[in-house]
Amino acid sequence: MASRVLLNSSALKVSKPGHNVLTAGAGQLQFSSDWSQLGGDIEGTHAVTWATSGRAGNHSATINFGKSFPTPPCVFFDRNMGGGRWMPLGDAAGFLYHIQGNTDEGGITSYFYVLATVSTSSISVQGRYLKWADNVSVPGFSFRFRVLEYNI
Amino acid sequence: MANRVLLGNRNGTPGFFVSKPGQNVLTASDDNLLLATHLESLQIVGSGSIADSGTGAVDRGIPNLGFQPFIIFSCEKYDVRLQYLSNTSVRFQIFPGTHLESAFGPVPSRSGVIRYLVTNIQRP
Repeated sequence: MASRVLLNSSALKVSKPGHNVLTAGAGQLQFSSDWSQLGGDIEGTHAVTWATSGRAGNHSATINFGKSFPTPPCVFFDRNMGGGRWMPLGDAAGFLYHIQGNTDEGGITSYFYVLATVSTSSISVQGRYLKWADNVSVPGFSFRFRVLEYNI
Repeated sequence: MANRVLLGNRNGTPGFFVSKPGQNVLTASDDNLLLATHLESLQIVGSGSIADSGTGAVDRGIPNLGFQPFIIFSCEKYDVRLQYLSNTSVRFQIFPGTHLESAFGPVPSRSGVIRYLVTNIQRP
């Protein structure tokens, strides 16, 4: 049987079944302490609140991590769709969500976007909406996020 | 208090194991392990970034694992698609991202840097 676990003062490695951990290449390892792992210890939610002016509104906020990473971490976002439903947004760098409301005849009633960008120490959230009639409701938007860091 | 850390044989399987709080690492099911080296663990083998040079194609070398690894990549500004050229080379195809200028004027600036993480897991 092949040796599959190596532990010494500098490494812990486990090879895939059938491979000798002492001679296995990188692709034949199941675990190596030489490689980083994604680790998550920061999460939260954010509700977009609009500073309104007439038929327009703006949002600007900063979500601080409380620490500074060497490089921007991976941050995954879910939009709150209501009723306990969540929709993944964007990729690990942030998201740009925008939507346009239309009348039955195809005319525009409203337009808004929310942009989230990730830096080494925070998430910047900015948004804007415009509506073309007073009776159009202000868009509701909130999301949750999870920060996954890696050290490599 | 339950034993939660084991380096050695676990029911005949060698490795390093950490169980969830309250679970005995010697008897816990796989679902109750936080770390188990007999299962493939998602780890980061390499990482890199590509400076914003506009749209087009950028090739990058990746560590040779003997297979095409799953890669996590992201960019705030562009739509990016990944193409595997070989086990050791990938191409990032960079397309224009979403523009909202016609409705609002320019959206706040976004970084065009592409960041990527090469994992130890084979891609689907």
